[in-house]
Amino acid sequence: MFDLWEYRSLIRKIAVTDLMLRYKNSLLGFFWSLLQPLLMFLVLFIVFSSIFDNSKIMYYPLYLLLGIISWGLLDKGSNFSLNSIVGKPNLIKKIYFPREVLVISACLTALMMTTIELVVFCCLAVVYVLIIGKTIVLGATVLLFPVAILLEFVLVLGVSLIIASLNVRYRDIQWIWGVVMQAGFFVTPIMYSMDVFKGKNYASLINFNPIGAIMGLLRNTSIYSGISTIDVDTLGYVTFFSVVVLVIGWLVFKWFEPTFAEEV
Amino acid sequence: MSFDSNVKKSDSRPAIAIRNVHKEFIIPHERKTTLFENLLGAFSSSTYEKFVSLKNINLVIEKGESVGIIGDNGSGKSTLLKILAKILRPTSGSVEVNGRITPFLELGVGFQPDLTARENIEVYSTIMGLSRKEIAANMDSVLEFAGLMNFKDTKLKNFSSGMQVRLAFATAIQMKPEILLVDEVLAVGDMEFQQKCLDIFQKYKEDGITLIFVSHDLTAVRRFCDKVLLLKGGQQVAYGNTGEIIDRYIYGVDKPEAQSSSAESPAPEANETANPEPVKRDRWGNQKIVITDVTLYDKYGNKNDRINAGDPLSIQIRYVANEPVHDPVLGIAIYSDSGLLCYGTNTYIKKIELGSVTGEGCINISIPRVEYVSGKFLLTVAAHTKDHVPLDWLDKKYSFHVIGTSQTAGLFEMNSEWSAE
Repeated sequence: MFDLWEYRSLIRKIAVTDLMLRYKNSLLGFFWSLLQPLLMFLVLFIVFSSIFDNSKIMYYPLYLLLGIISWGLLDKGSNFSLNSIVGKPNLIKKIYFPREVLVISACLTALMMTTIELVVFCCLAVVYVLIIGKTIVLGATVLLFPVAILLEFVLVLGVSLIIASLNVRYRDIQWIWGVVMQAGFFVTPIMYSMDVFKGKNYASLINFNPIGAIMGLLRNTSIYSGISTIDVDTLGYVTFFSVVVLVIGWLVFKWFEPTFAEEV
Repeated sequence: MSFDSNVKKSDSRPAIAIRNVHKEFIIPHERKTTLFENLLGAFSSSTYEKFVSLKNINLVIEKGESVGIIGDNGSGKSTLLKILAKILRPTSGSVEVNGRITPFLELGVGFQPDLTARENIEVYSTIMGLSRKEIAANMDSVLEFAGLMNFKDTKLKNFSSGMQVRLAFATAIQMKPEILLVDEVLAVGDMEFQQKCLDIFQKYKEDGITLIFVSHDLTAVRRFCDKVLLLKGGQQVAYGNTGEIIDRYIYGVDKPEAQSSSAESPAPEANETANPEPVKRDRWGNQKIVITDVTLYDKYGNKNDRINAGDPLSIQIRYVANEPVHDPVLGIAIYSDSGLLCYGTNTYIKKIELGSVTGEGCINISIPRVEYVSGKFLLTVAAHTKDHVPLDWLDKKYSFHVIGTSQTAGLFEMNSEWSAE
């Protein structure tokens, strides 16, 4: 694990290169990475504003956009990772480096895209404030926002290590994962708030959804930072869960790693 | 990188120590790659076979030694190299490596067609373990060495394959390795490029870099390697001085039919290459005499179609005369691979009177020194009458290989005395 530090420049190089390659041959290039979540936002906003009564959710457009961006980190990170090993057989078969480099790079690529999306989010938030004519007060907890992003990254990395190594031996993981993510999108409070489950007996179960908890943390440390306090229990739960997933991911990866070159 | 300190402290340790290395591959008869297939497979017993690629390999390579690994296809050469490069893990046994390994298993690992030459140099160098600063400092010299200065911002997909190879090689050699693993890299590229590679390896060798070299090019192995490991069917047949081991490989003294006391372990199957295989279907003549068998023998008297340059070669021609033929002529002609007639003679020129032949007969031709430099040669064997009516003409149906023993260029060896004043 510690020799990874020696490979930091390789991790960085692969992450940046993959980001560049992703949009190399498209006309709008890099803007697709921003356009995609924004178009998604527009669709969900129009559809769900007319179906659900979301007027109770404060700053709903920002709430929704932040949900889409943080879901995007999990979605992109895991999907890039899924192909990070099986998609580079020439690298795996011809040269040695710790294989987790590829998964970490894939997650970093996703993190870089998320970071840029968050910058755009800030700009849109300013526009939104100008439109509604009210100011959003930020509190000191906004400093915890990067911590929440880091926790999500740890969780994404853990999940990615598991599915990327399993995918080498069982290629159906890549198909199953699409369904899992689809289901996850609907049980996570991205376009609705947890209040819709109030009174339902499975509400507490849904509260355990770690990505939902992280999303709540992200919102409470940004758009709601002026009006809410940090729920220490949630923070503790999310930290514990993310670290456990990362450790499990690491162990699973190490279990499968020795035969990568033979099975990829 | 941080391996450096490790190396300086431990100069007495060998560069590489391989102990009892075994490698097995499990080959399922029906490969299950999906979970569904695995679930189905749980109900029926899965059948697989174990393919033993390496058996009990023991080898100690000291720092600064150049070691060649030779053997037929499938003998485990590349597997062993991949184990040294940490790409594959041995099933059992251990490999100790002291020093940084630079593998040249394939040139241009990680090249991306959509990136420019400059970007690809950056990526490939990073994979090879260079820091950002080193890469920036070397960038111009790499481009210059590859002769691609004007194309530094051209995408790789617009390069010819020769340009790609040059770029890959220039990138790969910018950092002086400690232990260099080379696997048939020389097989790609044109003559000039191969020469360039060989020159670099020669320089590395003189600089005392440990070199491990897998190749079918025995001339190159002879030139670079102090020692050679001979593998056969995954087993270590012999390890020792280059000349001796290459001789054993070419002349197959480890084959069961050879009565050699030096064989350490008998090779399991007879080598089929001993019979020169027919090259083309080109045979004519009135079949009054039929050439039944042409066999080449090496200096040990074994059937062989591979000969070291400068070694003896003998050719035995067996024939049957289906009806009495008066005074036939039997001859041979040797062509280079490109079709140039190198040598031709026959019983008439050699003034051997065969008289009237009936039934079986045999001609033996003994060549004390094969004076070709290296390469593949084609052999024509023919029987005809004195007035050139072909009886049985086997045009370029046989071939043999001359394995170069020196760096001489060209087709023929010539005695030349050199002096400087």
